[in-house]
Amino acid sequence: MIEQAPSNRPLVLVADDDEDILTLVTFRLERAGCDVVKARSGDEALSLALEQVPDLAVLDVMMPGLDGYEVTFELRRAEATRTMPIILLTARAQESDVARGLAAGADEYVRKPFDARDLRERVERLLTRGLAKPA
Amino acid sequence: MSSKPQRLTLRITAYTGVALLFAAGAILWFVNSRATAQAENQAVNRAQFIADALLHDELGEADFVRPVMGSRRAQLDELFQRAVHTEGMLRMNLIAPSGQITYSTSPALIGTRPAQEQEAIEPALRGKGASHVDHIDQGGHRIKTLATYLPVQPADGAPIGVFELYQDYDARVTDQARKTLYPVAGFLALALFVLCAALVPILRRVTAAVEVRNEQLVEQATRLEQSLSFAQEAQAEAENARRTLSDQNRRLVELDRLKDEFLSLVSHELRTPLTSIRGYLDLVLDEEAGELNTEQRRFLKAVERNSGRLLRLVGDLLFVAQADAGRLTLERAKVDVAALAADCVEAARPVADQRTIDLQLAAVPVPALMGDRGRLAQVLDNLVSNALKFTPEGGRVEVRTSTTDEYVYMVVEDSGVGIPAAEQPRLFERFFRAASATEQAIPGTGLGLAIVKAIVEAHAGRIEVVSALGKGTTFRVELPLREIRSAGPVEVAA
Repeated sequence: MIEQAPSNRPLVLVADDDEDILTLVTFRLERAGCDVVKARSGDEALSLALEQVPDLAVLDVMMPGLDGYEVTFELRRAEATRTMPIILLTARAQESDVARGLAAGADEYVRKPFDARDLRERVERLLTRGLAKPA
Repeated sequence: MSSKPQRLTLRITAYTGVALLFAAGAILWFVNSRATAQAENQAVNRAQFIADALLHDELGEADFVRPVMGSRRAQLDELFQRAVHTEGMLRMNLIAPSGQITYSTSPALIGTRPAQEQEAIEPALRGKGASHVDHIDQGGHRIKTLATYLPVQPADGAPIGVFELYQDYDARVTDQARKTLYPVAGFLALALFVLCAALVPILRRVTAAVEVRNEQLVEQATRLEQSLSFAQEAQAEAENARRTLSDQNRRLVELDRLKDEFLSLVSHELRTPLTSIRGYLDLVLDEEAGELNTEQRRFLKAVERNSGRLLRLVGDLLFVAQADAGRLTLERAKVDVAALAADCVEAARPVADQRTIDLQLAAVPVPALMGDRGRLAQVLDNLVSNALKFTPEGGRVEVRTSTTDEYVYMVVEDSGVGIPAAEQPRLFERFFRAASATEQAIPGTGLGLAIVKAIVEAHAGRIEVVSALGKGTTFRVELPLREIRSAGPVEVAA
């Protein structure tokens, strides 16, 4: 469990066009002690991220409108989200997809179906890294 | 066929005959010309002879002054009648320098002054004889004549008049010429006949040879035309075949690409619902939705197990699609194959124990090689999984590692049902399943060994199998140590 005061729970943006997976990831992250803001397309994810500046983003790659790579690229260009940890969560499992995601600026690349414990460990690690950064 | 040479012979003979006739005609014309000219000369000479021999001493200046009359005329009649009655002589005139005829063997002409005579006698008045062909009326007939004009002059004086003599042209010239011409023509005709007679057999032989050669050439041309036609047909067929092959190749390449895309898409589209299935299943099994009783947990575990199988199948399909498309990548790092074998055996032990199969590890330490740890683990997992599936309860499976200076070996040996010799060559084909597997309903997709082979070959290694029915099977994987490259993903052809 992420040890932070309930009032100061980390905010995580989760973007996926599949409602079931969005709900599943949200449930797991909320159980892990995060507040979650949900987006159902790449464009919505980008505007929410720029507006609310979450502590971390979990983005699906294949979404309507902007895809996960493009959202990652745009977030890395914006001043507010330049260092925000990003996890790409996708069923596109080929090596070239991983390489493309990391090149766009993602910190982690998690293949679907994901292991809940693995996702939680990665989220915790990235949030800890974010907290350890100088303000 | 035999009539052809005859026709050709006749044709050549006819051409030759016509050519010879032309030649003969030309010769006759030439001979006739020469003979006529010669006869004309003779006629002129004769006139000259008459003038010289008969008239020279008989004629005086007075005979050319005015028309001769009286006794002189009677003398001249007598004198000329002798000459004029010889063969071919038609008329003789004495013409004064003024152009007046002073005497003629045709009395009607005496005293006349024919206009044409003035011009004709000019050369003779200058001392030079002349002659030309002319026509005169004689006894109601128009007769072709040779008119000759000769000067009449004293021994050392100028011409005092002109002696004009008409000779019958046909009698004096044409007949004479014919006397020369006819023998020549006869000889020529004979010569032509002999020549033609001699030519016929020669021509026949020559034309026969020509015909034979001609037939050979025609035959050759026909053969060449046929060959050319065949060659053109063959070329057209080859071109068509090439086009067809090219089209088929394009279609196959396109189909292959579509198949890869399809497999990739299917894998991706299957992963998404599987994510939800396994994710929510995990939630339930983690008792996030309330406690589970033993029965519920057992049933949900069956769901989990089978969704896991489905996921592996999807992974295998994607792997095969990548390998086929040449997009199989290796994440190379140092790999301890002996440790890998130990892990694999450890992971498989629960299944082996459950089926009371004696699973043994005989892993000697081997040098680390550069390879993809996950993929090599997949090789061992697939081989051991197969060995356990095809080995009856109470059997034995052994996993060994060994090494030489150049290679590392991974061996999986079982005491299972074995593989018939007929099936062994197809063992590594995709979707191939052994007859024993289908008969005994042993689960599998037929992709496991195809994947094993693709991974081994991606590591520049090779795999071989030795099997005997009812005794067991041994798979041996050989991986080269020298194939050490820098770490990191490396594109390899499937």
